[in-house]
Amino acid sequence: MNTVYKQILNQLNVGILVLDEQCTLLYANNFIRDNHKHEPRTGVSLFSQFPEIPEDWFRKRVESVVMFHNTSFTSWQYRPHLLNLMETRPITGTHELMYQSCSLAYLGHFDQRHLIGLIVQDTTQTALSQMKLASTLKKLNAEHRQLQKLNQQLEEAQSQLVQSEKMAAVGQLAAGVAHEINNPVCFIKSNLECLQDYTRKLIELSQSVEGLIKHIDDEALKTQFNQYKASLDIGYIQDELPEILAETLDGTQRIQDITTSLRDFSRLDSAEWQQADIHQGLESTLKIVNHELKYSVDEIVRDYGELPSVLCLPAQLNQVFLNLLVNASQAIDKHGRIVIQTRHETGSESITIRITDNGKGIPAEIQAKIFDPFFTTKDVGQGTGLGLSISYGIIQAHQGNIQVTSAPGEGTSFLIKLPVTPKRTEHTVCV
Amino acid sequence: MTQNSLIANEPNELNELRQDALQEIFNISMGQAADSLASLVNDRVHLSVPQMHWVEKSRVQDLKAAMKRVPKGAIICQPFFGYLKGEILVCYEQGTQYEVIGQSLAYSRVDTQRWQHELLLEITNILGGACLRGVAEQLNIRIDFGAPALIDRHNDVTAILLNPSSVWVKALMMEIGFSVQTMSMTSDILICMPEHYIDKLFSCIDLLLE
Repeated sequence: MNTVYKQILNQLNVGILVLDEQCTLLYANNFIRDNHKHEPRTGVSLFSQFPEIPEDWFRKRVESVVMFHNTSFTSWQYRPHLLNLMETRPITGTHELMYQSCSLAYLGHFDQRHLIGLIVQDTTQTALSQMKLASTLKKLNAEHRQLQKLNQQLEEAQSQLVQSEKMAAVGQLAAGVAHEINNPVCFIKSNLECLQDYTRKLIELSQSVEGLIKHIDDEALKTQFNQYKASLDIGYIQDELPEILAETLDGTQRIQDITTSLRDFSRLDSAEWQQADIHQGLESTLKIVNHELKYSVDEIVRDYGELPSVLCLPAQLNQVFLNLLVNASQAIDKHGRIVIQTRHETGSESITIRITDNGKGIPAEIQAKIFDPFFTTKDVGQGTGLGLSISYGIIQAHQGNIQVTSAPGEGTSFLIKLPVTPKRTEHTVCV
Repeated sequence: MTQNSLIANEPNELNELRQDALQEIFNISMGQAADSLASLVNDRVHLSVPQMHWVEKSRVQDLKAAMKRVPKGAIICQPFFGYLKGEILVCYEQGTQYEVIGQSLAYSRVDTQRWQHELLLEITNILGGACLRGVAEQLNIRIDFGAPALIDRHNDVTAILLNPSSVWVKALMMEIGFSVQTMSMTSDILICMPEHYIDKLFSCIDLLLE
């Protein structure tokens, strides 16, 4: 029967070693003999035949197995090659060593010694499949994360584009309306100027008639004239009429200024890159946001330096100025002061525009986020959180940069640096 | 917990006798296990008196409420089979110190970090073996063990038991608190046996009681 058992042990696709508690190797089946680099000898220390086994650790395991009469396990995941057994597929296999999961089992007490069996299972296929699966999963997860990030970027870009388009559309509409208003305003103004001239002449005539009448002896006519003049309140009209006309003209002039600013701000002709005057852009933007600034800002300081004309998309830069000025006014409670400083160092290839307010400032912890899409501190419905991110995109597209410095309670300063002549290759990229 | 549902057909007096006997068997086994473990790891090992819980899957929340503590951490599961069949679940909390017990099992300090999971599997194997060996000897039955496996890196045992795909319906759960001084930890071993094997367990106990 022993021969049968030995045959069975040798036929198994499982490695079997038998040792005693001193770790003397007593038996190794064919699976071990065939797959180990060196054929093991029995009757000697296990570690002399399998020097790859960590001796202290293994002896402790043997001690525990003998003490508890139990089985101890190792897994390929943590200890892939307890024995240096070769892969069973020397041609199609991809690894030199076999992955193994082993059990160290207490076999019993025979001939005054404890016997222990080391059973070695070939788990190479499982291990390789698992590792491939894990690596595929890792790759998939990385791709998934990448896709999520791209999706988010896409959503952000889309929102920026929509907002940007919306603002451009509003700007164009405003410019169109401004143009339509401008035409009648022009002839109203022209007519008013004529009217002013004619009125002046009529008043002159009236005054000279009055002077002439004084020298006539016909008292009845004089009285009749004076009564008629008094009944029509001509004296008052003579005083008021020039004033009314001057005020009306002033009003008309203001309408014209606003329509011109609207037209300048939106720059219908500015879909293409062109040389533009930054100060003009700032001024037209200031006029547009005047209604926003007038309640909170007491003073707007124009600290303008000498600037060369800058190759840019003027309407888009105006949009940036508008965003910064509106934000500044919203940061100010009252008695605000906004300083607009522009500089160009002689010989430098870039200009700087600094817009500083004395508002409540931006807390340090959110300064890094203010250019992120959808980041807003305003109440729901008050802000899209896209203004500064779009501004950032516009400045980037101009190959410039925009930086913020802020001290809570003291104010905020945005510094825009723009190249005078951006490289042409990237001109078309703009949100 | 449904203390009577698993053994509803038996007279209560007999059930109480059986439970007392089972409790006693586990108490003795735990004492032996603690001694053996202590001598292996050269450390003070404390195993608490086992608490018996009769649990239905639909009422695992009751088990959670009844357990002395419900630690959260790496969960190791080890199956056992033979005359009785079930699983041992052990939870190792984060922050457990493994260096000293690792060294006593011949893992160097450097190795301990590297082999932490293997060490946990081995500690579970020793603990489970130590706890159930005494039970098997006293009942004169054979119990063998499968390889332990890490089934969750961070969870509590009851969450594992609640897995909707798992097959168990009713089970006996023995809750044993254990602490190893140098591991700076106290945790729980949960020995779980499905309903079918409770009858076999009680038939062994009945033999002892005769």
